[in-house]
Amino acid sequence: MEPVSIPTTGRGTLEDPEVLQNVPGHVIPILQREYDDFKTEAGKFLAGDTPEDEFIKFRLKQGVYGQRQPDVQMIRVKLPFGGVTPEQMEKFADVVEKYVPLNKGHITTRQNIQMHHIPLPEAEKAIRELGEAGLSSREGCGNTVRNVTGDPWAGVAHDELFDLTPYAGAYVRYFGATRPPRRCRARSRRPSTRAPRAGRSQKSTTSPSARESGKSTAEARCAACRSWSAAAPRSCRGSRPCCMSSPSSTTAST
Amino acid sequence: MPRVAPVLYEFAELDNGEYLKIAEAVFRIFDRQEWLRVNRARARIKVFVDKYGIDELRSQVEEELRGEWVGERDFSIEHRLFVDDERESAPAPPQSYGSPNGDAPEFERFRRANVRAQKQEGFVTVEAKVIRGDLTPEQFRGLAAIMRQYAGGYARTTVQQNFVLRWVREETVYDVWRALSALGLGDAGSREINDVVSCPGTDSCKLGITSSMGLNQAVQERIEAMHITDEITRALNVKISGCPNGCGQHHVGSIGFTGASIKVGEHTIPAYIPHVGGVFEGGDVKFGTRLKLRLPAKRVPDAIERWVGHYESARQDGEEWNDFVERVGTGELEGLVKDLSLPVDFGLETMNEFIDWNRSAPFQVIRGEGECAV
Repeated sequence: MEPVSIPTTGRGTLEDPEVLQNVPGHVIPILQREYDDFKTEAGKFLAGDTPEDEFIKFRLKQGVYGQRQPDVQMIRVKLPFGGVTPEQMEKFADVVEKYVPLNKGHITTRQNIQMHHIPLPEAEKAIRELGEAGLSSREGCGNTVRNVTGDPWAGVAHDELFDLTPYAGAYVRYFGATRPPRRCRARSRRPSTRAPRAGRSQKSTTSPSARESGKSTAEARCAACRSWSAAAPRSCRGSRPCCMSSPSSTTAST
Repeated sequence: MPRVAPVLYEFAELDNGEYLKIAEAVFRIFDRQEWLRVNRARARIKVFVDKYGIDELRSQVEEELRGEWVGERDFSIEHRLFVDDERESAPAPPQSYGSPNGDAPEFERFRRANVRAQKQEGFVTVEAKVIRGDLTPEQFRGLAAIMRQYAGGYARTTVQQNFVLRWVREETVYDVWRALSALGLGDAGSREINDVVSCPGTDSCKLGITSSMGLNQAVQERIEAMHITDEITRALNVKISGCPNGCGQHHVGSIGFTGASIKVGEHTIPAYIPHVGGVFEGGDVKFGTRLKLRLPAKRVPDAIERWVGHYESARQDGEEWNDFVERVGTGELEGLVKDLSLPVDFGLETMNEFIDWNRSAPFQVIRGEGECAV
């Protein structure tokens, strides 16, 4: 089965990276303000103004992980279906040379590339520079849709029914959308010892932040973790900050 | 511990965005399971499926899909598709190209093991074996140059921690191999027995128990020293996880190991629990069988050598590893390494066993709290 009506024209440029364009290696939109936020929040934490557990939630959303060694970070760059361009490889080289003490990057068993032992004050510079090449670590950790893996031979394999690449890209963009295509909704919490069922009895209301912004599809910034919320079901949820939710992450991490 | 994922639906449509809708329904259901988040280690959808079963999850998905939220979403995918005609960026036919000159046997071996024909005529993919998944800045830059000159530009990393160049002109494969070799990335045998996969383990991970990267190196060195040429033996794969979470995919390896420990009085020996007979290719997934013993980390290469040696001498004609394991049974494999699994007393001569691979201090189990479900 061939996929229907895939346009083959319209390759974009990188001038407006928030617009979805078909540029190799640029599946995930890059948000400049995330780096400013990271700098601010890391600065506050290092100055002792933010409790550690709060900061951890924030940095995880940005793909900055803790290590067994104190005070250094692992940065996990997401490569949807493992795709990486020459410019991105060179950017990895630059960032590794500048900020990674062990002088290496590591291909993970989920097609990501991660770098270890980066001191926190350097982490913001590293993710910002990676972003220049369209490399994103957003939601590389934490309770999020992490990397979307795909067959490295998709599109060229003899035995495939169709190329999964366009659809894997759409999946990444749907669940990592910067403008969630949906209304923000508060939802009743149901502490339970059994599996709660969805019910139409669960009345939903528009959340306070959505009401304030007056837009149903506005970006929401989480009050607790300060990250620009992205993925679908946790875009904003009234009293419950996005970083407290856990919509996915079904396997162990790497 | 990982699970084999049960099938939720045999079929979901792509072009109308049904696959996104179903995925979001699953997220929404999982998101309500507060009971799973009481214990961080259980904050996984697999725990839901363990408890209620896939049929219950499916019936909840059906119900979820009748919810109001569905009408508020835009599941259309046309504007979200990632469309990239890689053929447009493929290199032009080369003016000239190199061919083997005294190194034909090595090149032939690389070509057979690492190069695959694409469905597009005249093009091939070339898989570079990246040892332990680690790349230096020189290798990143060198690969970038090769991608520009010889490939379509847009390459892929793999879950076996390798690197796939696509849209390489068939004629230039020898030049690509030479260029990869100059970077130390020209080894033949990607995804073979000496292409060992491992997670970072205690090199950096808070949850790690053992030095899976250290064992990776030790196993790789041992396998190289064994000079295995037999093709069906080379088809085995070894996968190592530094803890039971399984980032090193030990559960689907022909031979897999998970980091563990053995207590000897006040002291601790770094150890591994072996698994044999896992499958992850050919549309099939099967977890390996866990052997009923623990091997001290330093003796794992010996164990692999014994198993492989026994397999080569006792297998039937053309019998693959997994069929062999099935036929002889795990008891026989356990028997072969029983002596290796016996812990030694702590002392000066045995000190080496109490120190993990690539470490200099005595081993201790130090596990912090993970950050996965924060």
